[in-house]
Amino acid sequence: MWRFRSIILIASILLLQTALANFFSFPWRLIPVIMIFLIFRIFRGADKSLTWLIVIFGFFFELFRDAPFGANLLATLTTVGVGQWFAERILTNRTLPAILILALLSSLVFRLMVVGITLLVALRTPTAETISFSGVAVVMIWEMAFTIFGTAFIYGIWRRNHTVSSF
Amino acid sequence: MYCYLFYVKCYPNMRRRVVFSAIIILLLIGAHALGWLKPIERGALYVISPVSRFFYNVGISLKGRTRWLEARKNLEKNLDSLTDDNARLRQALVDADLLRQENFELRRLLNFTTSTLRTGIAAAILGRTPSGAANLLIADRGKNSGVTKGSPVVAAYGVLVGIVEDVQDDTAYIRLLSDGQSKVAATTLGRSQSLGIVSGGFGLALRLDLIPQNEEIHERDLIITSGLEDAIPKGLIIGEIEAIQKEPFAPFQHARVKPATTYETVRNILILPSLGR
Repeated sequence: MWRFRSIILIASILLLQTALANFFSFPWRLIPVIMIFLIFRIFRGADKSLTWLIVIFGFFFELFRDAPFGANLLATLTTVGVGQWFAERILTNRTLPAILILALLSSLVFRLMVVGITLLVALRTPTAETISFSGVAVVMIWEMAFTIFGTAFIYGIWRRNHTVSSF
Repeated sequence: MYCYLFYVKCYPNMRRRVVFSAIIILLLIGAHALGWLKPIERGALYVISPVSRFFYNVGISLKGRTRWLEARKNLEKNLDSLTDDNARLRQALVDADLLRQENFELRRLLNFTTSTLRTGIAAAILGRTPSGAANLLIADRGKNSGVTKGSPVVAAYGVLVGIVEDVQDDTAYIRLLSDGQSKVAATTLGRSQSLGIVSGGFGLALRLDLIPQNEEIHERDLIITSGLEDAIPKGLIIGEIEAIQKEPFAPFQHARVKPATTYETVRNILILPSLGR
């Protein structure tokens, strides 16, 4: 039963991300549904399924070629790794500020990794001249803002059903 | 009980998970480089494409409705502007017809054969890339249909909408002109040399930069490709100048360009073969 539920959940998140990208213009299409979901999973306490989520979500982005193959996968892995380390070692309390810091940190790490890997590959090709750093910075700021608001929103919903003491 | 991962203190479970994920990811990258993932990628895109196309078309319908409401407000203003445009274009059509006849006669006299006729590959848009950071459209034609990287992509009436960024067997990824990484050499209609570079910004606007200070440009001048790049022919319509930004002591002037078509609502495109020199 849990497998079926997981498949439905993953499919819904992928559908939502696809719908957002196709429905809306900038900046709304930057809402990182997948990243918000992953951060919340880390915040709640990661389990074995996280490995498969990284692979599935990372591979989903790789299908669309907006970065060199592997950039999104590696960025997702690093983000989850860093996020989890912080969640287990520093941001151990399940409060709103903790999840907001986690969201900020994770979205920063993810975008820096994607841009970093893209640049490493692009520097060897003539397309490096066309990379707009101001554009990358604006995208990053919007993404961080959406991640923070998104995780805060989900935290609000989750908080209504759970108490902090349940951890 | 702690362990160390890359000299960082962590929990054993976490290390196992990260190492396991890293191994899977490295295997995936290797398999992709060797081309072993092609059937899986094609299968995944085969499943995702109809979903993406559905959302894309619904998005276009919704945007069309809001645009219609906005357009109603400016109906009178638009009518005046379109009447002016119509008169101007009729005159331009007459001039172009005369020039075409003259050109034909001159070519005949020189015994010159025309070689500019090029056929494009018609394609439909499947949707946008989901990450949102890049402004890429996915087209339903790829290598198997003869699409090549760097080819210009036009919408109705020869309006340039973007450049092919990447090609797979059955899909092509088109970077829209309005993307921050898009750059195309452009000029105004009637000018023989390149005037500046048209670049995009977040999928929202186009700018014409690097226009020398001594060049005279006007609002509503038609902006076309200058043919400076190897792959892009001269004369593809980009848009018209909406506003000019000119500082007295700056080396270059800038202009805001109004695109000739709405990139957000493009459904069908024509991929022109890359010229190459």
